Amino acid sequence: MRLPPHVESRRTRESRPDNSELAPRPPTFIRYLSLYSELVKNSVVREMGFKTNFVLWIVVDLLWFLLHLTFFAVLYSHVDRIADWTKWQVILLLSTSHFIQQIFTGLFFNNCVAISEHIRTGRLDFMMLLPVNTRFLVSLRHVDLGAFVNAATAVALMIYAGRQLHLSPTPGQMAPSSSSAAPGCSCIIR
Amino acid sequence: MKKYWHVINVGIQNTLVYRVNFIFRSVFALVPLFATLSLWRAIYAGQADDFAGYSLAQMISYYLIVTVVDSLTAVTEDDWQIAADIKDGNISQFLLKPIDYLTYRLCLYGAGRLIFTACAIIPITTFIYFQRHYFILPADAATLGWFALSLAMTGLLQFFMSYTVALLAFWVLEVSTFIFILYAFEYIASGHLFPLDILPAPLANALHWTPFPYQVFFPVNIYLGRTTGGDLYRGLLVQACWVVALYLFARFAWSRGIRKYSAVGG
Repeated sequence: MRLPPHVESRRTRESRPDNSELAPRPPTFIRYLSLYSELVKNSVVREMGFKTNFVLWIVVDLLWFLLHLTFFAVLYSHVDRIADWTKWQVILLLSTSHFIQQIFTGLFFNNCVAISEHIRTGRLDFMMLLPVNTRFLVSLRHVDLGAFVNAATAVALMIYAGRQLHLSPTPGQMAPSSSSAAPGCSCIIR
Repeated sequence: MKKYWHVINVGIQNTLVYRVNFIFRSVFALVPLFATLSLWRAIYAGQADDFAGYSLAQMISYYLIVTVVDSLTAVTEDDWQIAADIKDGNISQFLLKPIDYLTYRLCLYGAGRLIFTACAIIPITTFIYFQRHYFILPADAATLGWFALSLAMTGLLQFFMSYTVALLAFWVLEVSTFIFILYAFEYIASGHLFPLDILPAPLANALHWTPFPYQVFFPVNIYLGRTTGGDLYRGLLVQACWVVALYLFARFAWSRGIRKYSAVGG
């Protein structure tokens, strides 16, 4: 059977030992960076398709965060300390954990949840065929933008709680603590 | 009525498929519970007397009974399923059959709770056994009876509320955010997170005008013997009123929603 002309030509071109006529591939890191920016763009487009839903999800997460804060606010209206922890120390802890959790949600969470679905529906087969690292695609495909809004509110509360505790961390102290959040997130998906 | 027994039977068989899932869910729900109890122990360690009128045993029993009430009455999958039925057009068949969708759903909810409780009973009983020094038993048989009555109404209240929110699917495409927002309010205002009477008095009193405390806080307080006499009867009456009100509202929402229903994909 004869193949259609365009398939034929692509076949011969790919089987040729030197493909000098194709554009040279950019270095891997740059290539994946541009791929990732496309994935982010895709996620933005998807979220903007249902704007009210996007805002409501932010409200939902904010509400749950407030709920846990309320719990401790009520507790600390009765006591001054819980096992040496003061109110603002607990709020700093809660907001930091919320921040790490939201960053994880923003980058990875939806993707982790979707993996089993990809396997079940066979979409993973399709992804494995794409000329890109499958783990990269599976882990980072969907970016949850609302989570970054919530991460920002967590940072605001962290700063406020830090000021209440008269903390003044130096840049040298802040860099290790913020960078330890990143491996913390990625450990979960390995 | 015979047909609804069949529905319950089908519901039991359908939920039995997820029995291992239920066991896992009830086991892992004990982890945050353990954390909460540890937190309360730390609070009581730091002070000599009671916390807002609760002794340590009462506080720990409060959370244990909340867990029991929760496994008996919490709506887990029903609201998502109802919303999906509407969105995917599956309710069209119920409009043609001589079966009432609300009763049908109530039967499935009851069957689901029965199986969940049967699965959760081992892990929860084991957990309570390890906390037995702090576990308070009801004062007398009458207390237990009032608790059971209130528990039944709690179940209806939880169901009607979730049912009505799920019916929002007639009007909007995606109801999960609404379900989560309602759940957040239920979680805090029903006394799930902490007993409501540790709140400042005006706030706690204001909450008693809403249906939320009757979803968890009220039955648990009956069990602990903190609601007795006139308060008990008045509370049960208010709870019954909320059940009727929410039932009527659910019926109303359904009759309005059905006019809007477009049977997409049905």
